[in-house]
Amino acid sequence: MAHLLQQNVLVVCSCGSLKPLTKLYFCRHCVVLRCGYCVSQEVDSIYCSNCLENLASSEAKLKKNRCGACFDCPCCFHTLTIRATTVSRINTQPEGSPASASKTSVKSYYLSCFFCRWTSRDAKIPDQPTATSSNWPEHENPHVARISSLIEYYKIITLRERLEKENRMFLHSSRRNYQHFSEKFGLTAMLARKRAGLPPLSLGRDDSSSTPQVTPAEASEEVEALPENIFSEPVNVLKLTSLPQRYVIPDLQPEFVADLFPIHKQLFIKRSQRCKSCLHNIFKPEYGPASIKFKIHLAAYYYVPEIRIMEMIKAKSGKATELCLKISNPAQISTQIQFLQLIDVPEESPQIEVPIVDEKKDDTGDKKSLTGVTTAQKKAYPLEKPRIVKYELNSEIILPNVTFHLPARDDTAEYDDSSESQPTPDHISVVWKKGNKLVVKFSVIPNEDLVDQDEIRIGFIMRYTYHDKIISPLEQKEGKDVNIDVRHYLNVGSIE
Amino acid sequence: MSKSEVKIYHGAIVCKEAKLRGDVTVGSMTVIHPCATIIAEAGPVVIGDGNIIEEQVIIVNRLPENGETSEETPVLRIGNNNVFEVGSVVESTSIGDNNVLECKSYIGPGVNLGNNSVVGAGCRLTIPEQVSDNMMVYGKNCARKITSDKPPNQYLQREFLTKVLPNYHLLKKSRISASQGSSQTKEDKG
Ligand SMILES: [Zn+2]
Ligand SMILES: [Zn+2]
Ligand SMILES: [Zn+2]
Ligand SMILES: [Zn+2]
Repeated sequence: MAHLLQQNVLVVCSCGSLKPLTKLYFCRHCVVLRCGYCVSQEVDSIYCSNCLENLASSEAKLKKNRCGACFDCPCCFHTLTIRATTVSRINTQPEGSPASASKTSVKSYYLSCFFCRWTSRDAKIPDQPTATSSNWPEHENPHVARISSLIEYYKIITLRERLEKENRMFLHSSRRNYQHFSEKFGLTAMLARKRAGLPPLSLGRDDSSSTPQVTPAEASEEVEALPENIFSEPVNVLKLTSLPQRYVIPDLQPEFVADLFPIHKQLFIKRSQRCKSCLHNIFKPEYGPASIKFKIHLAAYYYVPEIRIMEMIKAKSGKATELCLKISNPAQISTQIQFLQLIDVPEESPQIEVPIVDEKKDDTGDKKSLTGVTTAQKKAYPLEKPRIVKYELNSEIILPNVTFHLPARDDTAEYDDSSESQPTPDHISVVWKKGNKLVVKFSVIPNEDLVDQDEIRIGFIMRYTYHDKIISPLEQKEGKDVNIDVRHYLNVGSIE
Repeated sequence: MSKSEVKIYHGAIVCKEAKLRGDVTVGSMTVIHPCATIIAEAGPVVIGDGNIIEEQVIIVNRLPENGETSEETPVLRIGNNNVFEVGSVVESTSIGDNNVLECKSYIGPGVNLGNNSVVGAGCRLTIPEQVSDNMMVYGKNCARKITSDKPPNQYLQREFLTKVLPNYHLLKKSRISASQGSSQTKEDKG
């Protein structure tokens, strides 16, 4: 597991950031590496991590992105669990004879934290007769009226602004298609207002009269006096809340532990990643919150040959030292691997054709959408120039000038003990070879000016062949082999 | 101090592999797992009834580090129905009743636990003090709070261990009968 997280072998993403291979994606459509920074993150579904309930985004918004049924501990922020107790009640009959006093045991439920043993009884919340958690008491936000009036006000402001913007756009727009005739009269906005239940606006002209007035907040110079007993009574830290405990309930901000109140659990999201260039999904989880599987799973770990350092080296500055790297091919297809110096291939701008994002080209985009071509292309994000890699190299690596052949990954080979006969290494630099794995030895010469304990940092390009199976209708059916250069930066050891 | 003064009261389950050194008294119904270590170095260790002492637990009545010797021999007294979870270390001088020491917790010298307290997993109490009753120590910063809830009763777990452990482990023989044992614990309480 540790090698998955190691920071010694870093790979340059197409955006120029340095990451371990396990944190990179591989877009099969653009045939480039992508990382978390250079893909667009999209919210797929919203769910509660405790009860795994799936919520629609509008519903989640309504519930302020919190689960209605699950609670967090206000003391240590772990999830609260519902615990049952049996309370025996003695029903005394009016006669008072001991025989008539009958015992009935009733189940009652309270919330409890297994980690810090906080219970809802600490908050003086009465035990509930049912386990269904919908009827736990809610605390009242003291500012609810003010907040809702502000929200109402800003809703109208945004609507007005959008309307004005749209009007301006249509006045200056040189576009001529029939669509904007309907827009010209603000029909969509009017419909939106109608749906929102707001009074109609007179088409965004200067009518400040229809804007609802809110009283602006006023700062007051007067500060509440400290309570009398603060000077006389000793401070009991155990009764006071910590700052995180206060701010996790922003509307109450309780000062004392006794005033803590269960917090509704914050909802989680499932994200999918999309390539900004070709707008294909790179990662897409299955929709259901209980599933940990993926529909689309283009991790670079499954496509790009992985390089691992066999052993960190101890070297002397200026002296050539042997370094063994293990290369494994994760793909289902064999590949050819070559090593090149970093300077052999200049750091180019990404080999992606810039999609149609230009403002001027909007017309063509629109036409395309009318003719039925996907509107996806229109939405493509402008790609930033890749950043410059900041990784100081301080040593030289001598690379073998051969092409290595790596067979496809075969999961059954690992259990096959019969293949003891080692295939003869095809080059002197090959130390070991088995299945889709290969150990190659390199020679590293640390610079003369390195001193004791300095890291030895090298870099090279691994060029491997990738079988592109995405068939464009114009090209041949089988797909084609392409060479992909992956720039590697390694910290291979230290000066002794 | 005479050597090998281990006293085990009737009904206690002490596995043979457990390391008990010096003047150690184990009350009845106490369960000691095979790899626990109890060392009476500076003075006797007296463990009450119904405790569960799990694997890798170390309970030491340690000689003071500065080499000082007080006139009285210090006694490490552990009450009843405490649970020492895996890997907890006790070097304190007094532990009350119904406490839970969660995994890898540490009670340093001079720290006296009261009753119904819980020392959370990995929490360390190192500064000498008298910990008040119902204290809960939890989290990586050893945050504290007073709980209204008592730690859960370990009766079922103890019963289970009493049944299961003898099936797989040799036990140290108890030397003292139950009647003597109960009188002994009564004295302890008094
Ligand atoms: Zn990137
Ligand atoms: Zn929930
Ligand atoms: Zn808690
Ligand atoms: Zn792409």
